[in-house]
Amino acid sequence: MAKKGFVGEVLHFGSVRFRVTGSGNLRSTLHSLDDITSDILPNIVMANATNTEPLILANFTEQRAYLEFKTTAINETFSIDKIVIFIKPVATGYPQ
Amino acid sequence: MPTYNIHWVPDNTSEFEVFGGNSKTRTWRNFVSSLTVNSVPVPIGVPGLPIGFHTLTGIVSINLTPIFRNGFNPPYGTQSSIASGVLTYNSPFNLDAFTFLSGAPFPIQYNPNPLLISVFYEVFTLVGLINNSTNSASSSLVWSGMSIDTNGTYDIISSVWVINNLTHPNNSKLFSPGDTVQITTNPPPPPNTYDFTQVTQIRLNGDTMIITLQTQDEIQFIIPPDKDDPNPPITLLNPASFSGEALVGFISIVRGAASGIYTITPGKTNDTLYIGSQSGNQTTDNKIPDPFAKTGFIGG
Repeated sequence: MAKKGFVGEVLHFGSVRFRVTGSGNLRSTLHSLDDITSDILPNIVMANATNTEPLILANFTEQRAYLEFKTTAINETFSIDKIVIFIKPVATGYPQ
Repeated sequence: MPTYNIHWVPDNTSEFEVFGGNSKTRTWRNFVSSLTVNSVPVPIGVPGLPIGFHTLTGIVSINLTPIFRNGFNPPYGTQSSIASGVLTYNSPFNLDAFTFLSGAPFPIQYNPNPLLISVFYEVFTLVGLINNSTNSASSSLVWSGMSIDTNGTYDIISSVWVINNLTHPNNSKLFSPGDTVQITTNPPPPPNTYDFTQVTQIRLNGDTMIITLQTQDEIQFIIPPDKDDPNPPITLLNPASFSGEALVGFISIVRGAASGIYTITPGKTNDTLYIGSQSGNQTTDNKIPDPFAKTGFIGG
């Protein structure tokens, strides 16, 4: 039986984990629908090779959200090949 | 027609010094002079200085007091032969603007500006005699107390030269290759004195330009596309006047930004942009504006 997806529940985004290589500082942010709210996550100092996938704590409660990565300095690069986002429903939905 | 009485006296420390023989160098020191015309001081080194006198009558005499430091060989090597140190010129005679731009062996000197009067150059005519002496490499001669004191009638040539950018009139002294440079003189000088029809060459930092328009009070040329000197001087050559070559002024040449096609370079982590500058095209590496990646929405 396939696992049921979420339909309108309010979710708590507790942490993210991803594998990233590159150079410079990787900045990651959780954004709500229409970017009304956001949660800036701690920066990650990247390396060309790494044997770790750090867990980055978050504290963001929204019905739907997406994760954005970016660099802001010249010659910074990043390569991500796995992303895990930990979420937990905390409410069945928003009341009218 | 006004009459003149020119009295030109250098300061007490002014000296011309000549070294003959093989070296044939010339120097002068501290030649800051005062100049009066009809007892009225003429400012030197400030805007408004007449760029020359055109004497109509009278004889211009330049008096020098020579001081020998070492002997010169005959016929110019004895003190008595040039003890008078007098140069005389019959009118009409141009006491011209002069900028020491005539080249070697004269030192190139632009200051003071605006232009001094070219009596210096005439003095060097006398210096030339010394130059012809032989075997006097170690000889030197110093003149001091030089003065000009004479009477006659004169015209004051007080035209002002102005550099304009005809291609981009709003940029009076900022040019790009291909722009038309216009030099005007206001008011037009008397014919056969300083008017631009007498100009034989325009030089941009020493390179001869092609004159595209030449009238009595206007002269034009186009900056060549390969001219990359950022701040070249413009000089006018007139063998009959202003001592051969006179400085008009300096302009700034800015090269435009290059156009081209962007190419993708694997592994390149920035954008290389070509920028225009006064020293040709240069490149600058700029960051790519905040490269980013986004996941899809989580949640339903």
